[in-house]
Amino acid sequence: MQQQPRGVAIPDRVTIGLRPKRGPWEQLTHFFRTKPLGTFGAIIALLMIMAAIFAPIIATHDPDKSSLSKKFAQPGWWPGAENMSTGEPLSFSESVLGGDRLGRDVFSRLVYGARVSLKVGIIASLVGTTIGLVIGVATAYLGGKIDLLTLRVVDAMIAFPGLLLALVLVAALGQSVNNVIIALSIGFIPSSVRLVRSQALAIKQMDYILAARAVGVGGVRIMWRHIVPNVFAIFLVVTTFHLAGAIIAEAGLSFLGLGAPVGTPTWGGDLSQAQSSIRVAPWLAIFPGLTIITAVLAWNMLGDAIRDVLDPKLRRG
Amino acid sequence: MQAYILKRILLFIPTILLVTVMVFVLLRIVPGDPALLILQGDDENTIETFTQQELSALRAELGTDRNIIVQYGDWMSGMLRADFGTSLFNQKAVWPQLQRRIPITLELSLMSILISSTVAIPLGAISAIRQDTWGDYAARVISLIGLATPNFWVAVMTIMFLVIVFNWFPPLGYENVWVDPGTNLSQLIWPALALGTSGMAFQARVTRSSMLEILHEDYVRTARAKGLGERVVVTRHALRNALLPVVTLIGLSVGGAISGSVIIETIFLVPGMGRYLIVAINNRDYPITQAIVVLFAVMVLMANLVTDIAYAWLDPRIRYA
Repeated sequence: MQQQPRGVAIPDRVTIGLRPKRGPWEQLTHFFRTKPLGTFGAIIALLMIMAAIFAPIIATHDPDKSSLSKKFAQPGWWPGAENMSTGEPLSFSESVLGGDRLGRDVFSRLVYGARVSLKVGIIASLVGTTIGLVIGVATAYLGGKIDLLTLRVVDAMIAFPGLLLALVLVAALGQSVNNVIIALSIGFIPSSVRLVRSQALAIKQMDYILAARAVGVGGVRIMWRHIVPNVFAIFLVVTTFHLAGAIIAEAGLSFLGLGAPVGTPTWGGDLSQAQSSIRVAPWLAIFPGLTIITAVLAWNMLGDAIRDVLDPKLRRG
Repeated sequence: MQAYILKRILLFIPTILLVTVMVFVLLRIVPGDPALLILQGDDENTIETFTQQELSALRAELGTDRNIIVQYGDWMSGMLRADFGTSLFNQKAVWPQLQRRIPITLELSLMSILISSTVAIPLGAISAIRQDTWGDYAARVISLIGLATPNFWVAVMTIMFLVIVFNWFPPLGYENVWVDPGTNLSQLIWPALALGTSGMAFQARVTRSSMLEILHEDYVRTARAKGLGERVVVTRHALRNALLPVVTLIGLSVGGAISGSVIIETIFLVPGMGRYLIVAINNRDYPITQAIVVLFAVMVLMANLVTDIAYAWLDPRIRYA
């Protein structure tokens, strides 16, 4: 065993305030150990991604195929669940979560619904937050009149709260999944600009930025090499929260019939359809809602955990 | 204080102007030619025949053949005189329709904020005082789930609960509060409850973390050290200051309540602005859509302005900063 030379106390990395460098695997296991809720969120999020990718394998039925025998059929595990045309008992695999008013399989529709939800969520949150990152870093670095103007525009955009901006954009652009993505992306820009900008402003004051400028590094390079890596933590956190927000927003738009074309399996659309039969088939309304909550909760918990790990200063309690 | 208020109001004006420009560009220019939309009709499969003369005549009638800046000016000056144009759908003036609906949405939003604050603030405060007890964990889990729950699902579940458990379908629609306050309350309480859930969760979270921070301040320790009872320390010293960020949050939740009213009013058939907006969007009735969106944005901005001023009034550090 190697001994340290006596008399000379070499401080290890911990005592001089640096965290010991961990490999990616170690970092991951450390995350799992210290952040149980975040790990739980990550697992659910991963399951959701798998469900979306392998929907044809996981789904027990064709989500669009209606059958008379399963019209308003109860879930197989429900006591007294029966085939609606023959009256024979339904097995679990025949009806995992029951059938809707057209006899379509609820479980299979929810699995396929993850596709629209995730596609909208991932693309809209990434695009919106990335545009916000670029604008936020640039406006913070350039400052002056440009910054002032950007802030005014951001203020004006924030005056359209939540779904409102998305609603108006979908109304103007026309109804389609792609337009929902565009609408939500634009909706995510102002909050991303605000958060990234405030972080970038603090970094702009740092001595190393001054040093970089002193040795003649250009503006674009300073922003890209010195500011962007330092706002990346907040970018990741904001993207995760926006993803959760996009899932709720997409469900809301589909609920109003302004999202994916009516009939497409979507969580919000199916919930909206369920309203007409809450007395006969309450499970039709319960399961899409629970699916939305689980998905949103998972991404939120993952976001919370990432924030705590990457930058404890961002904690909001 | 006056200087602060003046500064806030001066910042408010360009923001409002920008909002109107955005709405104008979005709903006047992006969808294309309104005259063409009217002549083509709603059904995309049957293209109705019309002549170029008819098209130009309709453009002249709608005023869309003029310079775009002139059109914007015309629209703005109309709005200042409470003239929001006429519906493309039934050719009625928009303003009288809105006039009836504005108080309904405002009443619903205010009720939801009232419900969410009265539940959230005590919940968050107790959660902070009893930090790391079972009660605290329960409150935190509830608010975490509340944040993830879409208000339209809560609305559907509320109706379902009332129908299945009490075999009672809540009265839909709207009765004027001055004419029949009882019916009005029984109609609006459920949508207000559903609308309040996510705001409730968020406010409880913020109250808790703000309260926790305050409870560790030196002056709270001083208050305890000089022998004040825990009750006085918590309510008079800690809670009063802990509520400052919550005030901002309540102001911001006006926006959430207004945008949430769009879906909630549709579910409970409340004839407010939110439901009118959805009807207008489905009919491609751009003048109504435009009017409602501008009004919503102005309401949100005004709520923000009032919040800013209230915050400065409550916390002197802000106005001198």
